[in-house]
Amino acid sequence: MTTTIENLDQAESNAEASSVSRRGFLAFAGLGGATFAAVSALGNQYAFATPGNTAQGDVLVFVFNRGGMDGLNVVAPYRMPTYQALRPGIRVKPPEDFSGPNAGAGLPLDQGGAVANFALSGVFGLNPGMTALHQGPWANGHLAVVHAAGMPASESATRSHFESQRNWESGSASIGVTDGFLNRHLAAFNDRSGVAAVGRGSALQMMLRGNVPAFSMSSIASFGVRGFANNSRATTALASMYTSGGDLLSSTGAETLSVTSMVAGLPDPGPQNGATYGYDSLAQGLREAARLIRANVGLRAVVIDDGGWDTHTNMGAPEDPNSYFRRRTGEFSNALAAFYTDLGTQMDEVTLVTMSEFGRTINENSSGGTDHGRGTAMFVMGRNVNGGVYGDFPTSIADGPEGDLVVANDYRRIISEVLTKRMPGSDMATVFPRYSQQSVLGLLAA
Amino acid sequence: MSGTDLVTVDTIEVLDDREPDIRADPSYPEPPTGVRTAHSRRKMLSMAGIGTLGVVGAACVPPPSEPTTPTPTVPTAPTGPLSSLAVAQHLARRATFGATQADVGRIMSMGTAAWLDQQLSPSSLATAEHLLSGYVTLSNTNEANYAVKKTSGGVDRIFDELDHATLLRAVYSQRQLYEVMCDFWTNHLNIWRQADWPIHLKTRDNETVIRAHALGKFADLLMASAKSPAMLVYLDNYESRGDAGYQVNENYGRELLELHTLGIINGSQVYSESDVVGVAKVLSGWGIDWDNGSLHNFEFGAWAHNREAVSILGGAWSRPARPSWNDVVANGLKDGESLIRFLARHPSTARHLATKLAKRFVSDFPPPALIDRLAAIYTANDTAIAPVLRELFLSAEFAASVNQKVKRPIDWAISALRVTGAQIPTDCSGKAANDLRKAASAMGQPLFERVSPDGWPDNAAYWVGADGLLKRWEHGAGIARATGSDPAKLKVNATALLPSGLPSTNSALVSWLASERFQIAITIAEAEAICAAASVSPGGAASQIAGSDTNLRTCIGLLLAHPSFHRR
Repeated sequence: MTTTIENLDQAESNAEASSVSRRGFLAFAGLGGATFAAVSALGNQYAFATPGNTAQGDVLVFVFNRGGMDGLNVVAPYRMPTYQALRPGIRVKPPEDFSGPNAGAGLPLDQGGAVANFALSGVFGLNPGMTALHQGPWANGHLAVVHAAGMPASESATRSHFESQRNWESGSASIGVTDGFLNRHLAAFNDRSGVAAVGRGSALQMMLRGNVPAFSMSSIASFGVRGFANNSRATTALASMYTSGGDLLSSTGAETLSVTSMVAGLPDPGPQNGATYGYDSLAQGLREAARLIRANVGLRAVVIDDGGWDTHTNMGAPEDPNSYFRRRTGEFSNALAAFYTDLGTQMDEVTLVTMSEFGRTINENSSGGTDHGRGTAMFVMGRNVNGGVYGDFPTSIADGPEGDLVVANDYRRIISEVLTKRMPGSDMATVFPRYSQQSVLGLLAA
Repeated sequence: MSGTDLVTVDTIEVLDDREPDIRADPSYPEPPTGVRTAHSRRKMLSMAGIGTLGVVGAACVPPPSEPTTPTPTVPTAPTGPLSSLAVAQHLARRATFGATQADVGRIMSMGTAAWLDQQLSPSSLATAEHLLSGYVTLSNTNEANYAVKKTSGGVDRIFDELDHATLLRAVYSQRQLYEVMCDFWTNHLNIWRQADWPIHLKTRDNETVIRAHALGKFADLLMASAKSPAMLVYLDNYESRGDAGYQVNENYGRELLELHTLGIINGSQVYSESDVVGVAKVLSGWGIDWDNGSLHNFEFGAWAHNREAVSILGGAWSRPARPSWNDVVANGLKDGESLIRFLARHPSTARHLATKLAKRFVSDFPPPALIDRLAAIYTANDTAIAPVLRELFLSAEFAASVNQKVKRPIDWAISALRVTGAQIPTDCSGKAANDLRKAASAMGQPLFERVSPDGWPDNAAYWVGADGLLKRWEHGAGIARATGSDPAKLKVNATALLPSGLPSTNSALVSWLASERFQIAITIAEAEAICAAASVSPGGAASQIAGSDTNLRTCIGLLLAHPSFHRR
């Protein structure tokens, strides 16, 4: 059995997430009542919005850190007294805490070199497991960080994995929004032939669900009609059973059959530029994303899940190389850095964004872990990125009434900037309904 | 609290000299090894001595009744009341793990209500337990399974027996609705069995929590779950400390409210963050017994119990402070039990469970009126499940929901095994078991491996995707091509699916197979396309398919791939 746990960690929002049927509203017509009418009306509003700019734009890669990434120990405000006091056992320590060379200190996110001056310089250190990201993309000025990101409490203060993931991926806390923000963004572009959108894994992530065909793909090699005595003839028969324009099941089958031949037999030249990927799910997902990007199959967006962040227990001390959280952050960092190295100058046309449903409590609990919180850290990586730490961060963090890092930066501000600068043409009011556009943070070049 | 105060059992501090002696479990803690990935556990060599390589098939699944006159089915959209056949097919698709010809025939001869009542009180129906001889870990205590775990290959044995028992029960037990409900509760009270060191615990949870209460009262099920060592470990409650100087671990308390009981329905919830913490405080101390003799059973650890007064849902449930050790010993556990019962009976829980049952059995978008009725019945029957199911399956809303659900991968795979009369070797670590396990994983739904506590989703929006369909088609082709030439592998006797008298044409034979053996309707054009895939002319003699094992298996594989066979 080759169960890949990270794949499975894609938590599914329980109820409302499912209440859209991709291209399938008709299938439920007459089923029942006012709820349906409301959903359908919203769906029609989003369906195939105004055709916009058809310029190619970047390939956008979204990594979802499932489980609630403890941003305070990934991008640690390691000199803040309250941080130090509230996380006595698990805090990331600044270099001055160690006498002499020590690999256990946090990796400074400071201005200088390729990183232009920024206001929060000196405040944060990356978890010491993240040397690859620190020495590569950060040092080259191609990594931007926004901390205390999330959905503002005025819209939703939920700490449910499932509610919060639904909010992030639908782009709204409204349960009337039942498709994904990325799918609505892609709906603005006409040239969607081929494999425009891929969700890594056996089930499609919610942010990719909607009117635009998007393809779940657990691996390139297995993406085809297989197992019949004559697969070619079987494909023809399947195409007679699964027809476009039918309900979700039928149309998805038809769309799938229309692209399998494009994916089958893609060349695999292997990672380039000396990149080395790990065997974890995120690394392998990014490796295959790089293959698809090179293969010119019409790819515009990829979503990859990255699990293992629901760290209620035993995170361990960051200076211990074998501690859980340090190893987890190291794996995450290695995967992103390998992708960056592999694509090399092609990162001119690729932008990667990471997100997680929430951060975690500031106070560590009795199990050496942290519980569900609010704000967390996001990364944006690419050669058009202006390296640095952006956005607001509280001047002091305290264990508030609910023990959390407040959301100081609406995650949609970050994603909006990426979409409008790197794949312009969609209407942000459609992509993020109920979100009032804020000024750009300057994370990347247009 | 300093870094050296972190709780580990082998260095646990005795904070109160009246506390019980906490013995260290030599296996604990096994520190997390890097990422929380699965043990790379799967080995292909068989384990000697486990189970016997038996083959079951016709003995457990009654052979389809003798066919009557083969008649191609031309589907038409239902326009009026359903025929009794359609009613029986609909009920069989939902209340079993896959409608076989025999199931549908039984419902039609018994009548819907009588068949349903038998399924809800199934003691007279045959089980599949006789296929599980040698599966010792199913009945082992946690302590005995801990000993198995520590042997070479022990973890595999525990997992293999649980996986294959679950599959064999789902395919072959006559108590189909019971098995379907076991799956429902397995997901409702989901436990990722590899979440932490005690990966030997899920088996007891399966046998004595889920299976013991699947058609009983939810209050009993929830109480058993709350005291289940597997759950206590999975959601960390066993190491939550509420005693002075510690901050409770909120994980179980949160999911108990959100997923197991009150729920978040249409984005609204009745509980607050302080309720989450309050529940965690009341349940602090619910943990694991480390004593030999009762190793890894439930134990209330009064020493770790929080002693504060707690009020839940604005005072709807409350308890006073428990300031003294004697007070905690006398009342700490009772407080938690009272809280569990309160939550099981709460109106929001009734509504949450009614919604989930309606989503499982009626529609991804269940009618609100049905949910209201189901919730009322749940409450009127003091959390008993069977009356709720009876109302559901006999409701007009259910009758109006034909084919509105899409099978999850496991639903589809088990239904494919049932309608093809597949003979599954009972060796839980043999080739057939491993093939089926790998198929479930490839399709995205490996048993007992849902990582997050919400359980596998049960809606089309989640499961209908390119990768999932490709994998289903591939594994359907594999089931259809299971000739059994290797006795350790799955076997489908294809010719046994043929009618005794062949219809005149290939196309008519394909349509007959669809309507009789697969209980689905296909169009003439689809039947003709399937003939073409089998390299025969639709109008040619049916013997061209019936007389060619390869051709017949191609047809079976494509019928397993037909969209109607993926709906229920």
